[in-house]
Amino acid sequence: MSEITAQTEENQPFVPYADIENASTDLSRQLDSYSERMGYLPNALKFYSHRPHILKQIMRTNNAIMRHPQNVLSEEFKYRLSFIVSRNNGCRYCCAHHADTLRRKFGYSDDQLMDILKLRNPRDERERVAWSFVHAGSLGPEHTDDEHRTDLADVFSPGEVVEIACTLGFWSMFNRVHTCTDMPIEGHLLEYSGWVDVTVDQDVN
Amino acid sequence: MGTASQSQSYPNEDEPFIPYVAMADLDAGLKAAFEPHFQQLGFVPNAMMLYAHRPEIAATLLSLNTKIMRDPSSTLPLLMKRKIALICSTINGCAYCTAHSCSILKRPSSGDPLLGEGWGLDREGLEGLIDGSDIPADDIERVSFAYARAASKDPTNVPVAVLHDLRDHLTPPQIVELACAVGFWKLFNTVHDSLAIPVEADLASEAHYVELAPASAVVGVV
Repeated sequence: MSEITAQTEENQPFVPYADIENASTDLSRQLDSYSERMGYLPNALKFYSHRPHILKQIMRTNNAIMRHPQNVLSEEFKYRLSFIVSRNNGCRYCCAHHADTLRRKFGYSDDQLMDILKLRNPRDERERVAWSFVHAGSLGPEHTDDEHRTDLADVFSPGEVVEIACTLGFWSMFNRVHTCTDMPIEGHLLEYSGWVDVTVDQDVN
Repeated sequence: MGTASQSQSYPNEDEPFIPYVAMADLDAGLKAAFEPHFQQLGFVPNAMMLYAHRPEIAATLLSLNTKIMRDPSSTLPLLMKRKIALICSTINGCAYCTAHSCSILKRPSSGDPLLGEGWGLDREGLEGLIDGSDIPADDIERVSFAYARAASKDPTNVPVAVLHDLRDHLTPPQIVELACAVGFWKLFNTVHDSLAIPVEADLASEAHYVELAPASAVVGVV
């Protein structure tokens, strides 16, 4: 993938990570469950651990939006949206994590990852509309218009619309925190650090 | 830049592009979670009645708001985080959240922010926060506002000096809380703006404050 240049060294955090070795039992349990799902403990969680009550609620929110049993859209569908949002928001950290998740959990190839970021080959009309909405919504407030919203309401139920908008919003939050605090990408994910630089050839809007 | 009184008005409450959940149809658990929040606000926010289409998400967003903004264990003052909400919402271009932030900041204090929040700021106070001419109360406000403005204007280029100032004046827990407040308002701003959630009629007079953000500050990347 010629567009992608990866970092080679893990940076130091802007503020030292919290001392999770001595975390409360409750927090340790939460972190352990996350580590189990991810296979490692992300640096971002070591940062949020300075405010355990916020960390726990962020984890609950992440789960509620991305993988709650009552959700109507699949986790994979929402990760595909998230990858576009995080790229548009310039979040190197989240893009590396999305690339890793899509490969590890859903078996994606580099070509499939590239298709998403290039907004190429959506799976169907619903996905095309959702991509267009989150792409515009993550470019800035002036980019989303009534046509995007009408298209969305035409092919998705109100509950699905809310789920898509919350996926856009949630990753915009994570992107903002992780980008602005220069969150270091974990050493074993550095190979994915360049995906954020992939650009769209032709705007689908 | 104009003044608030010269700006366009938002006289009528629009219809949402997807219907609100009717109060009678509200999920029972969600209704219980919403009630104290609505009581504190004194009205039912339109945004919540859209989020209510997904009760599992609405409930957790409400809790996230509470945990970041007004948890008893907070390390930063609520008033400062309310000011940051206004700064971020205007720079992010969200009329809905700007109206809500202005309303809370202007409302007279009830004496107990946890029961009925209000801070009694006047129009000049709001305009100063929005255009950056405000005088921060102390170094913590100064460096926090600088971070909120930099992070909202150009998130991929927050100056190193701004981050160093944060480290010099805030503890790591305070930095996390600040970064989460700035991030949380980005979440709400993005959802409310992309869904074009109508500003409630009672707050319509506050929506024009969003136009006071310096043009150079309004975000629009790529």
